[in-house]
Amino acid sequence: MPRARNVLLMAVGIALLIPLGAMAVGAPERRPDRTVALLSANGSGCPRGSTPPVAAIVQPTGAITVRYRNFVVSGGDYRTCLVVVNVATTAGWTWLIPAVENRAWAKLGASGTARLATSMWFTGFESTVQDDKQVAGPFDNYWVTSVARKQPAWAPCGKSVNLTIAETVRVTEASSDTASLLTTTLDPPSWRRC
Amino acid sequence: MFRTRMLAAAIAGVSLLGPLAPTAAQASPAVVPSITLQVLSAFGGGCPAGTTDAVPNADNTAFSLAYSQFRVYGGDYKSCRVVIRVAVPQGWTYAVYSIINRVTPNLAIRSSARLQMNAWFTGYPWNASDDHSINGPRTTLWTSTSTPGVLTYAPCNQSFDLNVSDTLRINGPVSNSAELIDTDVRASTIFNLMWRRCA
Repeated sequence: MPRARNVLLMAVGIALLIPLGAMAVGAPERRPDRTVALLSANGSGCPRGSTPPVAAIVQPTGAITVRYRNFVVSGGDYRTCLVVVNVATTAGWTWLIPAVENRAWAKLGASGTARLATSMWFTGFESTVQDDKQVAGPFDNYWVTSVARKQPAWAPCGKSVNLTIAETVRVTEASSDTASLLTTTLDPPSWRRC
Repeated sequence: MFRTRMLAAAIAGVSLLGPLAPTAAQASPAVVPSITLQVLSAFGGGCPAGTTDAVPNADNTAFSLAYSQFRVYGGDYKSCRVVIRVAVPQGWTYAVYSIINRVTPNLAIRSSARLQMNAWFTGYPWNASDDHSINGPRTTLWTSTSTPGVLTYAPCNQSFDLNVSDTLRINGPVSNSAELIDTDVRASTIFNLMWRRCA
């Protein structure tokens, strides 16, 4: 669906196709060619609209920082943003689901709680990496969390494959409780031969 | 069995998207057939215009559909029907694919969420369905995989459209809800695709 892909890239509002330099893990004798791109962002926490819901920067290392424009959740609600990333590589190489760092702001009363759930999967595959972080009130500050892989999850070999990162923010009942996800940073992909 | 194999293979990084070996085909193909999927449209109460994003893999063998307004509250339901154009090589047909739905529930005790999937080819009587439920209390991601159990081959030698309809229902007080956030469809592995030569 090349046309839809183009529209998505435009909708997200950035040209993110950046060829990557060296970061190979193991077998360094021949480095794979690869590109990392943000394809889409959509969800109840980042609905598509006239303004792109996220901005993103791809670092030369392949790390991606996604900046949410208005991902705010208040009292007794929950919202999700799905970010779809493409990592394309030379045949014979595969890559690892990246570690993720989230930066949020939370303002919670004494009995308030905010939760941030991260889920990641390769398009079309059931296997899902999941992580759940929580902060309890009273709290009024930046809230930084990281998701490390509990077990290695490698992309299917030999093909370009998309990865979805779903971030869900939940806030407890009190109407004054609020949490806002500001950025999600994906580590540079690690590589190995198939 | 299918589920276990797929999970294990994905974690181990085994080549799942490799050549399509005709696992149960009557004849081995001289040329490996390939299949592509294209989302033509999505419509329904769960996916009003402009609220979904379809993102295909580069080789069009799978796609991911992200929803932004598929939230359902207790005592209600919403549906979305996705029409997928399936392209296969001349002289080949196929059956079976997998549909993965992901739901963020917000269910208290004595409430439940139910996800019903129906699939059919436009203009043909064949119909496959699947039905999964979870009970509250639950607030963690629910991943639900449907693999139509009845093996029926698609019509030969013509372009055809696959319809997939997902309905999410919530039982319980209106304070309970759940949101369908993603539908993934994949059609190109030896695990969930069966090839056959047309007569």
